[in-house]
Amino acid sequence: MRSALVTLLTAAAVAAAVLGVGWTLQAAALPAPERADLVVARAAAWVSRYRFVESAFAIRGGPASRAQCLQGWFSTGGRRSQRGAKLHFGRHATVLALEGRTLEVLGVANGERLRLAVVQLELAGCPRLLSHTIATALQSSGVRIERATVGDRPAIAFGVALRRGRLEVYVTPRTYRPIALSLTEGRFSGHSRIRLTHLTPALLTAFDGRG
Amino acid sequence: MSAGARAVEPAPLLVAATQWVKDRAWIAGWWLGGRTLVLATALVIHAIDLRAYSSSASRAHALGLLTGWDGLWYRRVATDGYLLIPGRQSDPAFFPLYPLLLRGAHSFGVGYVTAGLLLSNLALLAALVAFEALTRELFGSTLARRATVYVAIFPLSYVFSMAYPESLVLGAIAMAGLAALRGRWTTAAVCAAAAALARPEGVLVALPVLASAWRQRHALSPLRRGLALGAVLAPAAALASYPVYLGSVLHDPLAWSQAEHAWGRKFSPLGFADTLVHLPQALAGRPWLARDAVCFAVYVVLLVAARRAGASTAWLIGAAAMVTVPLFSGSFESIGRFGLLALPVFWGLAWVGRTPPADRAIRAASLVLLVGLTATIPLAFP
Repeated sequence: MRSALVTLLTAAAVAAAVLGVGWTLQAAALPAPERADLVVARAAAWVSRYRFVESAFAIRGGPASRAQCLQGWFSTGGRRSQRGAKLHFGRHATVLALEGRTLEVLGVANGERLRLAVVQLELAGCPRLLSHTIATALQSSGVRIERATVGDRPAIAFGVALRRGRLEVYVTPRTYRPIALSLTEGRFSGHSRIRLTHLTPALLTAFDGRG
Repeated sequence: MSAGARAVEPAPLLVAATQWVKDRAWIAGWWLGGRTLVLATALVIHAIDLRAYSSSASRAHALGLLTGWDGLWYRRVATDGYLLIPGRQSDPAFFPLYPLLLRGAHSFGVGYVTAGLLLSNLALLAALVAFEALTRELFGSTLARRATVYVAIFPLSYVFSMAYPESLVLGAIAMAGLAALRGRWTTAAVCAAAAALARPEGVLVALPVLASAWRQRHALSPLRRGLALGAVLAPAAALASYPVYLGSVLHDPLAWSQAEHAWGRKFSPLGFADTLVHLPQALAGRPWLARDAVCFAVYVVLLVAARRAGASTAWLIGAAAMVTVPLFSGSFESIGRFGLLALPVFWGLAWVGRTPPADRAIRAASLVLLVGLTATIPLAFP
């Protein structure tokens, strides 16, 4: 009995020593990531975990529109389902962005609408688009973070360069969960508050009910 | 007079060391020959300026061919540490020991590219010596000599010269197995831990170490039995230290697994069958997968041959796991490289080459294929 105990304790000590030395080597010798990189990576991780985002955005100082963006599979015109994002906002407006296809914009007036639709998708925080934008910024390196406030509450902000402008992402200071966006792109500028939301059957039914 | 004579006699330790080196000079010869072929081919590819391969940083170095592909990622970890980028290929997919050593070499003023090349190639020499010693203890000197030569010139052995951890892991596995056979449990624990900290497949060395410990259990004191069991557990503990570290710096202990997903590897129970069923479609999209599929078939045959040669079940199970487990992730990709760490593959090949004509044919084919496959590095990652 005693000899078995000696054997087990020795084995446990060896395993613990290996675990400890392994961790210490890595912690002591490998550089830790910059805090800014970590904040941005965590923000991208948050977004990548969700398929559904509820938001309120305003463009060019106009009134705020409530919006919901769902990432999923959609079919139009009897064609095969394709992956993409569907954004409902305002009373009747819908933007459908399917991968590899031109945007479809319904329920809004003509003129500027494709460019504007892209801005709306970005400001609404459509998960795949936002995650892609943040991850691209992270890969290009040089992201900087700064203190900010969102509705009088403390936040951390970082900027992401877009093809024609810039997106500011605001995250909570502890968990780095994205809560707001601010965008300047060409002639458009706007801001939004976003809420990453777990998709429930009820939410999906309500979303589908809007067409 | 006798005192004077003693003064000029070489110390016994020096004599033993000289003899040890002389006895293994042939290993260094084959190592040098194989590496000369690989490095010369890399220089020729550099000279003809084949632009396909990965980065301008690799093209800037005369031997840059050997530092591309995953070599870039290992260097990135060494310089910047880990960062998980969700949905993108990112560096937590690469285990930490090799970047740690790169960083160590760099601290002596050696550039990362040069450090990678030196480290991998010198580690291969050490690995060949350890492999020969292990194989000699298991199968005798004749088969050990053939098997060691085959490792040195194996067609995919160009990977051992790349800035990859494979040569390091090969040496660590061989050393761990040898130390366990000889009852040196602390050495076995350190080497097995090193293998697992450099490549996840390294954890499988626990099987032959366990077999050795089990065979010797009655002859060991309780304390030494504990050390032996500790050596068995060491690779798993070393492996665990990596997610613990990732948890501490990235706040995500599963970052490795997530990064693997972005590299197209997602393990599932039916992955093996899916990989086989979908091979024709995969080959249509990526013809280079044929190389890995052929390697898989060859490895399976050589493991059967290793069984005939008398390889133990523990070594064979570990080797079979090394070449089959990756298939559960849904792809044949890189099986050729993964199999390089399955030592019984080389024992099986040495058994196949037991007649002089077979031996000559294997050597000749290996040398030709080694040059040919080294030249394909710009086209397909190993």
